[in-house]
Amino acid sequence: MPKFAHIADCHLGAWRDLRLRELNMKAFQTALDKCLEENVDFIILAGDLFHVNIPNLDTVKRTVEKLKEVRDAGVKIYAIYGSHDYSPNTVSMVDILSSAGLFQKVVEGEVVEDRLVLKFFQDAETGAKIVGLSGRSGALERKYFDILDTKNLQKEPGFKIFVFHSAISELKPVAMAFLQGVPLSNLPKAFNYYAGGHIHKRIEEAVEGYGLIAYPGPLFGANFTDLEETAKGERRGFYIVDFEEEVKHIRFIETGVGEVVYEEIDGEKKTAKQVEKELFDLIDAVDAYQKIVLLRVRGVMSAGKVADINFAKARDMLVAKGATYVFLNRRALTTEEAVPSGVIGESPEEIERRLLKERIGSFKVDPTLDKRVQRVLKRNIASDAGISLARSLLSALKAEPLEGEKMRRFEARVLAEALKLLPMEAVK
Amino acid sequence: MIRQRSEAEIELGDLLVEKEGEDYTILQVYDLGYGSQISDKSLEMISGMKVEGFAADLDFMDPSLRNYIIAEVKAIATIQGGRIKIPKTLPKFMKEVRHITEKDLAFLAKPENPVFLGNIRSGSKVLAVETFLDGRKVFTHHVLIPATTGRGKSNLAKVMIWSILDDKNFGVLILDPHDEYYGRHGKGLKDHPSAKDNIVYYTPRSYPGSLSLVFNLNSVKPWHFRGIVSFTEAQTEAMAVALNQYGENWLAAITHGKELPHVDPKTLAVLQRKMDTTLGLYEDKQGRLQCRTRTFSDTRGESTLRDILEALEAGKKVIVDTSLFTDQVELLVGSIVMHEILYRYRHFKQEGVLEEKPVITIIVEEAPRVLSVEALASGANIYSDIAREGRKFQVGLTAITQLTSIIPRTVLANMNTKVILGNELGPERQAIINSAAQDLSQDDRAIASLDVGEAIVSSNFTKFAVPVQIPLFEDYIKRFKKAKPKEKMRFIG
Repeated sequence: MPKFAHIADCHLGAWRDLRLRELNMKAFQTALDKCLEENVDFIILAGDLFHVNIPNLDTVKRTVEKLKEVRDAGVKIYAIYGSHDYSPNTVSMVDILSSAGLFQKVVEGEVVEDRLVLKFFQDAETGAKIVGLSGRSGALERKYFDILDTKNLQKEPGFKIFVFHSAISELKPVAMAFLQGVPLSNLPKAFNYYAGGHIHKRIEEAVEGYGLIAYPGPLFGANFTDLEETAKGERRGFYIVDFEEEVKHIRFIETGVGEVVYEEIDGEKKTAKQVEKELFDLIDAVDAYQKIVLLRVRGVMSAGKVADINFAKARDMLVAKGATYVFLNRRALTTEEAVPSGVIGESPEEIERRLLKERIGSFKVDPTLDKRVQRVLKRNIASDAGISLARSLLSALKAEPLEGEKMRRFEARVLAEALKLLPMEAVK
Repeated sequence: MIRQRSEAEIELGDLLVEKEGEDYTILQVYDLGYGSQISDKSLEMISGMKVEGFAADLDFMDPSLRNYIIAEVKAIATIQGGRIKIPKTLPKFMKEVRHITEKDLAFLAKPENPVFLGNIRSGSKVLAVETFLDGRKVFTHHVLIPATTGRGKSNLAKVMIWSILDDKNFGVLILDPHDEYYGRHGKGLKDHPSAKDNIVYYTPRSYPGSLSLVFNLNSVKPWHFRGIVSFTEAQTEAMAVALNQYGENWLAAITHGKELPHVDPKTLAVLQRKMDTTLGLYEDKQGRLQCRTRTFSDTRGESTLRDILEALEAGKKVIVDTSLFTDQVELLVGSIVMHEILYRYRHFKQEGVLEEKPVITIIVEEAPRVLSVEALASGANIYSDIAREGRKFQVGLTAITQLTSIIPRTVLANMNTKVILGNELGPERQAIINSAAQDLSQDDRAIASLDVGEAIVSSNFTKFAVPVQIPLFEDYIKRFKKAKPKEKMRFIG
């Protein structure tokens, strides 16, 4: 029986810490090894193979080596862009690897009479028909979904797979409610399998009229929230799907890379000394050997300062117990003695989002401006679109120079990326 | 009382002006009758002669002087120095009055956060003066739209929402039992130039761009059922035990028939059946949780509630097509959302940020389902809570009803704006008149004779009951330019 693997959100090159970056790469290599062991006919990569559009060369080199090994074994790979490895104007690494024949990009289409007509790609070995719609930064792919010609896609006979990198609104987990979603009704119906990416949680949902919609989640994780979810029991891996005229069987294969321990301390109404003691007691009790240890301390303490707690010692204790990596999250820990900060969140992304929401909420369009200019500003800045735009800009502006890239060229590249994101709407 | 000049025509509801220098009083006709200088007996005799053909060309001498029409009027506003006041004196005796003109209504300034209601109406004559209310005040203090069927209740609600669709000061939740607001088949709110950014449409039907309404069972809490579905004391306690025992999975636990400590298995079985009959929840043969109404799921819809709350708090208009739901499911959906909204807005008030937030209103059709004496007999529900205390937290009700008389006076008294449409039922008119913000005791006939689209707006936020003509929604939206077609989209794969 033919079978394929469905992998998403590898986020290769994520993590500044080299140990975590290595574990992420190992998860990718393990996943592809398991695909070869299982003799899959083809592999689907549902976006965000890389964490950024131009990743560091070491990551690229090792990715290419692995993909080449799979290709040489006769296993075809079909891929789409994700929101992270897509670039609005420069060539992304996904394009380069696709051009090099390491995989086939399955996104091709054109806008005909205001409808987006997508083209099917057929796997020669199995006859499966695959069509994809890439993710884009700030969920901009939603406008493509709005005009997607679903009727022709639905009419196509045979075993069909729709590959996408978007959150389906009705399937979003509550922790990812902030993600801009695509309504289920915008997906073409009558596909046998919907290979999703973007949601970092495993989801399998058979929806009447649609077929099986599946998100495998990341192979390892791209941020601490992902690792926290792993520690709380979220399994990390990918799917292998057996099929004939329809999906016969679906299995989730775990990568089993990087065991994570997550512990939390509630500092609410405790003194800094009490919190420190609880922290040290907890570390004494935890099995940290060869594990990634995530410790979150939260709450408003009744006395003492956050700085009174010896977090450095806590870290050293865990390292001494053999922890692979230690992450102490104390962003949500404050004290009644401290002046409350404007925005509190538990991850940098959350703080960033809340801060932007707050700022954009207080942004008022100057009423003396031309009415047409006011309209453009309201549409693109003083709304949710403004938050997406700001986040996309921040992401574009924190790009790092490539190896050997001259400063002037780097600056021009970053500027071009940023300008491309700005809504250059003609005011008529 | 006013005597009509022979060539003039006065209608019931007409607005007349009595001017004294720069200041003037606006009068409204509430009754019309005949007057004559000739005795009734003589009039009857003359009529008889004409009818019986004794003198076909018989007529009165100076007929316009002897027979005339008398209009009974009431003073509704006095304008002094350009400012409107409630009239406290009578106009001078034997003064001339005239029909009102647009110029006489220049004092009606457009308020902040305007909600459009229609044009000022004098009798059946529509003046070129648009009527707006301050939406933040009006929606916070609840709106009642009473009328018999076919008088334009939903049309009015659509016009009002259209006018504030892109105004971020208002988050509106519309429970739409007739699926008529969005305009899936005809014109609707979806045709607004900024609908794409400001409307979120949930429907169980497959419609491109719409969302299917699925709440994760984890979002449902026992108190959401309060006053919507009736439970015995034992069942209520069983629900509380399930919540303590299984946390947010309490409803799934009941559906799966999981053991509940100190709960009689018979009670649990009845509760299971009740969840099946009301919400359509049951366990299939494979032991999986299923929902006949497809509105609840243990795997989907985790972010639905949060998405709706965020949309409302961002000033969007959320339309929920409940046309395929039972009453209980529809009201439960509203209850889930409004409980959370009220909770969050209480918190915003505590934080001192309430005023930065949009006013939230929920549009409830057939409001007596939750606000009638009978519905409230078994206890309060979230809708009556909002009616009672929502204004403190900027959360209001917009209740649409045919039957005002069965809504308790205490609730009606809290509905501070009433947009009164035509109503031929005497008891209903009385209930409306008795709870109006202005004295409408003389307007019984005027309300009975209101034609389709004609309304009287009685509000704590207007100095007088304003007669308005609500435009037909399909005509009203023609005033708004459609967005120009955008440049051809280029696809980047």
